[in-house]
Amino acid sequence: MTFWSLYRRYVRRRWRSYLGYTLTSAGLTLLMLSGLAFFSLLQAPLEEQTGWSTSLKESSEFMLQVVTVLLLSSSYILLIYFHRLFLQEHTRFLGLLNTFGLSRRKRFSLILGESFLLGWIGYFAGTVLTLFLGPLILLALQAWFKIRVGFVFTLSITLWLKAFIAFSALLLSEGLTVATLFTRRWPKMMFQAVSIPEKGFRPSLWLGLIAIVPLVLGYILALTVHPGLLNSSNGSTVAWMIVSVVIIALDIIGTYALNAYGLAAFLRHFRIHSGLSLVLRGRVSARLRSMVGMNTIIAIFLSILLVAMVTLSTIKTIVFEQGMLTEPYPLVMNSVFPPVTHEASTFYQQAVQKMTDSLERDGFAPVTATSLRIFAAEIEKVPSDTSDTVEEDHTRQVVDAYLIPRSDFLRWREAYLKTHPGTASAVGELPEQGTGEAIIWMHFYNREFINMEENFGYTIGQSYVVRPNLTKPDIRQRWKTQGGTQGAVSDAENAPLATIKLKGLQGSYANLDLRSGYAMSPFSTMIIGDDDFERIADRAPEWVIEKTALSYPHWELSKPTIVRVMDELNKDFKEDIWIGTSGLALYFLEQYQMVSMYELGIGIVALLYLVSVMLIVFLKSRERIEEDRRALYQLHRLGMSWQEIKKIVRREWYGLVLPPLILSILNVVVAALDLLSTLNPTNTMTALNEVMPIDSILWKNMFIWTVVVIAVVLLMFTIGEKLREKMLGLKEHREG
Amino acid sequence: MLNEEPIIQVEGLQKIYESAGGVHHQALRGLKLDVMKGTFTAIMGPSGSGKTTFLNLIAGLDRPSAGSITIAGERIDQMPEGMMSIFRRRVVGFVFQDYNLLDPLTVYENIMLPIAIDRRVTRKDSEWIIDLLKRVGLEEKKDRFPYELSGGEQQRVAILRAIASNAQIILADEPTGNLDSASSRVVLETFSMLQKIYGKTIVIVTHDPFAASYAERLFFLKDGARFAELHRGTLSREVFYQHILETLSTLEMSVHVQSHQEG
Repeated sequence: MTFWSLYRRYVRRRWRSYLGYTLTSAGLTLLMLSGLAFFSLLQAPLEEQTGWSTSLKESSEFMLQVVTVLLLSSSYILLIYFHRLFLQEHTRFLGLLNTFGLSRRKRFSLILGESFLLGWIGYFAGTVLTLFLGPLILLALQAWFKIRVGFVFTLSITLWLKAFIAFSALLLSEGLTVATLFTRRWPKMMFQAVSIPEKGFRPSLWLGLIAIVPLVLGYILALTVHPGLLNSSNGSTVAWMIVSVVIIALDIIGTYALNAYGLAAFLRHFRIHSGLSLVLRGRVSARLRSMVGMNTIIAIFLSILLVAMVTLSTIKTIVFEQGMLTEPYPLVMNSVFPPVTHEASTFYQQAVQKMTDSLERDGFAPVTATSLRIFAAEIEKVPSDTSDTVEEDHTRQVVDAYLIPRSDFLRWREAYLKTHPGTASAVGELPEQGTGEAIIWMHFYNREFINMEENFGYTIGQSYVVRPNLTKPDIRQRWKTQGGTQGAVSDAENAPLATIKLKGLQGSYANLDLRSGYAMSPFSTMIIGDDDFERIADRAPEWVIEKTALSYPHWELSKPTIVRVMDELNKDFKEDIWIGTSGLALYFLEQYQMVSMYELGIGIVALLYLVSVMLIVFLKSRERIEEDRRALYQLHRLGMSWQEIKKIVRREWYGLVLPPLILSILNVVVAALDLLSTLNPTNTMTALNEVMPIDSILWKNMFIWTVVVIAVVLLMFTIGEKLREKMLGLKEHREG
Repeated sequence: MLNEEPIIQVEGLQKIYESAGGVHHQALRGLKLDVMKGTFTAIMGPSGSGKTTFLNLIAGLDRPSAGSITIAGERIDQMPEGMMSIFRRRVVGFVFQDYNLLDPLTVYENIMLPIAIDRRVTRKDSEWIIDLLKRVGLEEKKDRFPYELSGGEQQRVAILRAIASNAQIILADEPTGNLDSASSRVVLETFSMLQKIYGKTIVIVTHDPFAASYAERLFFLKDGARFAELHRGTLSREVFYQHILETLSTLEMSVHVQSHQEG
């Protein structure tokens, strides 16, 4: 029999205490790997984003990296914490071995070996947990957040290896640190370490006030400097990122300082009215001090959770739920350019039918097809117009326009409203127009567009001469293939077809861009009277393009169907047939995927953090259970009733829970105000304010998430408190 | 059997503790005493007199602030860590007030532990352990776990653990502190047996005059220094017990007077 075989017997018979740390290690591995896997899912879509501005993309990538770093460092902090808790339980054993003369080298090897072995077992167990639970958690969260996009959970071997190397490095550094610390201690210190008393703490009020300074400074930065860095003309994404980091650092330091000094200082200056208050104040001050690290972590985790969920749900509401409701007809299929052959016409109708059938089969029923006639025109300003409403013209003389007859437009609007009920105000009404009058229908993403001097050649009150559009190469090419003029355009071909006057610019949140492949381009659709259209079309029928607008619900998820059908249609592609689609479905689907993934990833990470933190609080209170029990019994011997003692225990417990909760709510309020200030009127999203007030959406989401998170936290703490009371033996004591 | 050769020599021993807030507390103030080889010695004194600190220092569980400690001819106050481990293994055995047995190990395994730490356990060692267990009447319980034993039985196992590696000196901190009188008697008789049959040097720290009466020599500590010394000589244990009580009352009176004067 050797020492190591005796030690193995000891470990085998005490496997439960070792299991605790191993399971914790496995849980943290699950947290870390799941978070990394989810965030890695976001990398590719983020890089593929085409519709985002550079600054938005950069700031999103930056935040992704920040969250990843927070995730990794938090996992490591928690692992080290649990490891130290585990070692504290073994201090007596290690002290005994030291007393009996186990050499420093063997003690060092024992501690280091345990750290490594248990840590690695935990890591591999955590990997298995991740592979099984990751997909299940993903499914559950997709159902919870009602995300219809089918994400697939994957954990790449490269990611796992990278995490394993990082984890092993952490184990090594942690193992070496604690092994060195513990082997340096004299045996007497090891036995003493088992029962280190909680020290009373009475900081001065000045110290308490100074402790608030970092937090206040961070809040001031967030409310004044930070918003302007991203949305002003002098703003810089890099500066925004730097200030973001500074704010986060100040918040962490301030939260720690407030927990360590501020709260105890304020407590000290409360008036004491009874013995109960006296004891409570002393215990809470000492407990706040001993739990300062953990309370800080809880406050920060809760803040991150709330800020992330509120921001995500608000962006999702603004961009998708509202935006999607007001976005019609993402799929517009174009007909062949005239002259129309029978074969081409048949193919086109079959293509539209195929698309309609496919969409309905894939769950997007009902699909409403609205036929539209569009005239591809060039319009040129009439210089002699002397109307008072004409502004000085600094714009181009000849611009493109797609003319649509009023009745076709109204049919289109009616079909849209059927698919998107309740959005009449978002779409807007078409004002009356007389003969020869035109109305430009534009998207109101940017209201300032209307008032710009340089408005792409569209001036209210201006008269325009309408000609066939001979400047667009693709239109001209198709015209030529249909037997149109080769070479230069003759005067006859270029003759004006009509003169119309621009009556007004009408806006809505509906993008009525009829050109294939374009997204959210204003000033593209000009509505004229039916008679005016018929006159123009009669004179140049070869420029009348037939389009079919397909309207259906959940269009934002229809990208896979659209792409599949277009690929199949393109196999039968004929040179004189052109079928295109709007890129909006693709664009919005990417956005939807991105935000949904963020929601999922952060939701999962936050949930796991919450559970970890609750576990730590519970374990931390458990480690002092014996001292606590003795202290409470001592109070009883001094004459305090069990009812009063129970009051002390309960109030103390909630006194420890409330500070991190309140701090996290403060943090999220400041973050919300920061976000609102960042969304200024020049930004695309704030232009929607007339239809969907962003600030009310934000505050509503904040209220909902704050209530949910606080309820969950309080529930967990209450369960912990009940268990603690049971361990203290308070439940057995009843007094009349 | 008394031997004139001192096995423990302490000269000018000091120990200063620094508590949180920078408050210094001097537990030992230049203590000087010798313990002879093969004797049973007790250390008594009021709370805070430094007796447990003294025991921890001579056991090598803590380092003195000043002074010298010589055990079995070796200066341990300046001993390097590697040699200190060997010292703890082979020279001294320690018995705690709360036994400090390892619950996951059986009685036999607990006693074996110090031997296993020192070297590979041989059959001879096993026979030695069984012999010890027989002597204290615990052979039948060698495969039980500590939580299945009474307090007295656990303390006896702790004592056997202390001598299992053939340590010359057994140091015991309040060995009867948690025991009833009957169990205390058994434990003290075990110490006596070890001293008489195996020639071990026993040093116990105790509050209990009854336990101290088993010793041949008794030191009284007060405020970290030696206050008095008693030798049992040929006195019976009962008479020696009375002398102890008288000395204790003198000690307590002087403590009371001093605190009254300081107050």
